[in-house]
Amino acid sequence: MVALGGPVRSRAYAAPGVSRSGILATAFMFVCAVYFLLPAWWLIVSSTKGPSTLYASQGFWFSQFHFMSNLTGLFTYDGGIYWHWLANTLLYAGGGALGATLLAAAAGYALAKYDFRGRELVFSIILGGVLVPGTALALPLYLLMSKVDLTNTYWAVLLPSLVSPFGVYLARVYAAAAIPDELIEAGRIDGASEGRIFRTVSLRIMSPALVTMFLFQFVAIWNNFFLPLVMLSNTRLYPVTLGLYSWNNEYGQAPQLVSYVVIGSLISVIPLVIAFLSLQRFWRSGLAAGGVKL
Amino acid sequence: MTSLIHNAGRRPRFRRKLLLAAGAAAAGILALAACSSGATPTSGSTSSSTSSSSGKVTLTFWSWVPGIATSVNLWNKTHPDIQVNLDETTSGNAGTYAKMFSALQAGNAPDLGQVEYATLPNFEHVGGVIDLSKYGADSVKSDFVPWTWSQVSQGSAVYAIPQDTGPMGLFYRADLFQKYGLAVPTTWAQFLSDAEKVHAAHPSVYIAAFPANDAQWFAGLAWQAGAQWFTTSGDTWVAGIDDSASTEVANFWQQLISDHLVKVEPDFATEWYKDLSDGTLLTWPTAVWGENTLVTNAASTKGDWRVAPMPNWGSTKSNGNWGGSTTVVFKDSKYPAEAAQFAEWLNTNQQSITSLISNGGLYPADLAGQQLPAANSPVAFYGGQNIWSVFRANGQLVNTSFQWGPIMSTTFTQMQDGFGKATGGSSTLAQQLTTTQSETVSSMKSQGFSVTSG
Amino acid sequence: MVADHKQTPVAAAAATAGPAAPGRPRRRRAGWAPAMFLAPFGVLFALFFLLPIGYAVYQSLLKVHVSGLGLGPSSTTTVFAGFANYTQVFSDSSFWQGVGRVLLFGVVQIPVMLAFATVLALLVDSAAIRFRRFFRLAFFLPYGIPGVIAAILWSFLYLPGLSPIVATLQHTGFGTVNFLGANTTLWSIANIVTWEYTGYNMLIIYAGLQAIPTDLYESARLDGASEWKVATRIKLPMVTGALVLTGIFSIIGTLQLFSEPQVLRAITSNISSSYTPNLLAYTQAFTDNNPNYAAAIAVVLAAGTFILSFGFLKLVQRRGAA
Repeated sequence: MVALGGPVRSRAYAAPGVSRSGILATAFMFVCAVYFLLPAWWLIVSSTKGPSTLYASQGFWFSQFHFMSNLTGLFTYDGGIYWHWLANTLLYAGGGALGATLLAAAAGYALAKYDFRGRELVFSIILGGVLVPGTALALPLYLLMSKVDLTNTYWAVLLPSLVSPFGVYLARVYAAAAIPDELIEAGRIDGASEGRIFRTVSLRIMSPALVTMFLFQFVAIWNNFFLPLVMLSNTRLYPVTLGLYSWNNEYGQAPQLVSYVVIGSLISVIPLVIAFLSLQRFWRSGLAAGGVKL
Repeated sequence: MTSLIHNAGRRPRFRRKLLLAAGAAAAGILALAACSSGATPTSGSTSSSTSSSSGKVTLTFWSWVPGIATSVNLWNKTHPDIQVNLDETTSGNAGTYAKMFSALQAGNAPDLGQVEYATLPNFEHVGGVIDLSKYGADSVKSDFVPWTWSQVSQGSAVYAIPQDTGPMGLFYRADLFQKYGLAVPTTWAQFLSDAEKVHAAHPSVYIAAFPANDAQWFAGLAWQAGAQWFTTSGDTWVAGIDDSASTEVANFWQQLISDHLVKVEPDFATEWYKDLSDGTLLTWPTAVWGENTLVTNAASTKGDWRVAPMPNWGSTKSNGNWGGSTTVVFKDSKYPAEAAQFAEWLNTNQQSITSLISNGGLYPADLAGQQLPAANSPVAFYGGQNIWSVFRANGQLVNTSFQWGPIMSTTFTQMQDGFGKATGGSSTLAQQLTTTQSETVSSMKSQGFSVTSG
Repeated sequence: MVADHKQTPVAAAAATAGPAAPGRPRRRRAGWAPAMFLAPFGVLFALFFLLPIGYAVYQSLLKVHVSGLGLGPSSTTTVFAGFANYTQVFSDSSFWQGVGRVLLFGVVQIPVMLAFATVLALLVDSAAIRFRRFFRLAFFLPYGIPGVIAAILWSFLYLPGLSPIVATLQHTGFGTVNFLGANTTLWSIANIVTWEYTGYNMLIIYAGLQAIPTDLYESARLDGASEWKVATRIKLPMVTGALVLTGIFSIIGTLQLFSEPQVLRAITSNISSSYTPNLLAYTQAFTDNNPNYAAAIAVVLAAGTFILSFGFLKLVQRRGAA
């Protein structure tokens, strides 16, 4: 296909929205957006309704406004247990992801920058860990934790969350490519210890990878429903997901819980959704790293 | 990998901002961890009794009864040397039983626990509960409804203190019965004819719901009909889940389902509450504690509901029981005597019982407790009817020889899965009873129980 | 299970480990330093990954044996059972029904989701569409909602007598739709999963599209290729690798489906206690108090998953080499 004279106008340069197919495609996109946003819209609308109007009114539009009383109820019900759940979630997902990132960074760094016997074997075993489904681990972990009297404690959820084999992988690849050997060598000549070099030089260079590692682990923990479900029986130790799940099964005790589950879901996802959307480019870069290579 | 590196290298400012954010988050989390570990040092622990140098005893108690903390606080105030630490858990079948079992296996179970009658034999068969007759439990025997005592004892051993019971009755919408010109049924045959009559005239109205998800509800109905799901003969269990009484109950509800005269839906679910509130369902055959469920979840129907005795099978009056639980002392307790003392107090002290009735919606197993004003006065929600007297009278009719098997939670699960299939249209309730029977027997056999089919 | 869906890129990236392995070791005298760096992670990895796997295998070989009525403290003993639990798993019809169900689910839901995600990614990448940034955000939004909460949210929209969707369909003449019937429940769960992860998969594919050098298709355009041709002939082949990989890992995630059916069980009787293999393992451990059998199911499930993913890894590596 050879263009025979005359400028060939690429469609990409056509004024957006002018072509008929462009309009059609945009319309299709709007329909899709409705699909993805409608449940969220329902959540927002419903969080303003009281338990009695929740079903008595049109689901997708506002009715009597009970947002503030729902909010007060949410935060005071059962001695303000929702606060505990939020704090626990921050501890499990935030603390767990932070710890996991640092541990994985050190391990990945060691695998990238030092030569020692069995290095590739260690790396293969850790990579194998990526492929083991987390849910299959949860049951035996529970039995083990029970043996040492750690079930039904913060540690039962936090400790397993500190292990991120994928983080080690990311850290290794990144450290190998981004940290120049000369820099480490220079540190040694200056008399710095290996640990000091890692802390002051290498960790700083690895920081963009650390953010991606943190994000991945944060999502993995925040989404892990099975582990806390299995480990925890005391409701004060629940993360917010498990807490809302338990409320969702307890309407019989208190019908206002319907409203609290709705508004509690909304409140708990708002910070996450904002963070996710604003960090979208970080996801993309991390994802591109994994996907595009193939 | 390269694009990650590439990308990150190109955005130094963005990177720094993120790093700062991560740092701030980290600081917040550390502060949080510090404060939460300081604030709740014991609540997360399952550890058993601990004793301080002063001779004070601390007991751990797992329970899910709403408002039971009030009773526990009352005890703690009046018994400074025996402090009870309450862990509020999810209900037994939602996972707490399993956690109790594995804690028992690991040797670190709490001192005290909430256990339903149906699950008590499970705990007995793993040797998880202490015989309380050694600690004077026999002295309170006469305080309790007789059938409850026979369910917590084996021979001379007493494995639990009864807490509450669930004699059944028929909650019905008096206003709608009048409106539709129906008579309150005294037999199940009348129940059926009411169902036909009202549904023919008003297709969106049903006499009741059929909850396929709730085998314990069905067990209560079978119990009333005279079923004997488990008995023992010497050293052998005899299972009869599909005995003639149970099959009769199954066939009865199957007819209602097949003729679309009942609404098939899970109980204790959002839609079911709505149906109880808006007149879709005219009755709810349930236990006494259902009183509280309606008050809480069908508030708009205040004054419309009444309670009648359960419809009977033929002319013989009989009743079943649904639910109710006990307080047990687990084998790992270092202070069984103190724990037993608390268990007895919790379920016989009139102040404690009053609180359990009003906060937890329980109907006490303690005979004196059933005479307390909280469980023996007219209720405005039920149009000023003293519904308690109906349950007290019909509680006397509960068949005392009904016995639970050793793996009831498995049996219930098998039955619920089966009923799900039956209401899905691929078989019948009676067929599924037979399936449950054979599955339970084979589950028991594979675990080594000596068992035969009745 | 949800977490595993979301780990897709995790595993995807891991799969590149072979080809992307870091360069030659640059240090020769290692000393104790690497051990110190590896130790904290290594200890936890051993404790919370390797030990549980070993323990699960050990537990799965045991059995609690009851004698007689099974009442009283000395009537139960734990005995070595050999492969009895495994024999039971492989002959357990409810296990196989669960496996069949999740496979059917995966075979239908994953292609639909990936096709949907691909179309959206191509459109978001196309200059002919307006408000592309808004669309990208809108499609990605569900990913910020954890699986349990998404399932709770959708359960409100599925309830027969209460759902505004059911009501709307009824008013517009579609009749009464039952999202929770015996034949529809599985697809209602599929919808939840699709809703959650389409935007996320779209982003993976979009990232792939963005990485294609623009001159590659600019020249095709100059040659007069239509937008459709550019999309199918140039853009799609560049992201096939990522697509196939996320697809396979989605299947593996599907094998562990748990939270969505577990949440919906409260509102429908059409989800049994053995609806998915994971649910069966959970029921065995936490309702039936049979941890040994549950351990055997977990081991079978983990082994199956591992074989599938490892096999695929090899497949991809061979492709990469070819």
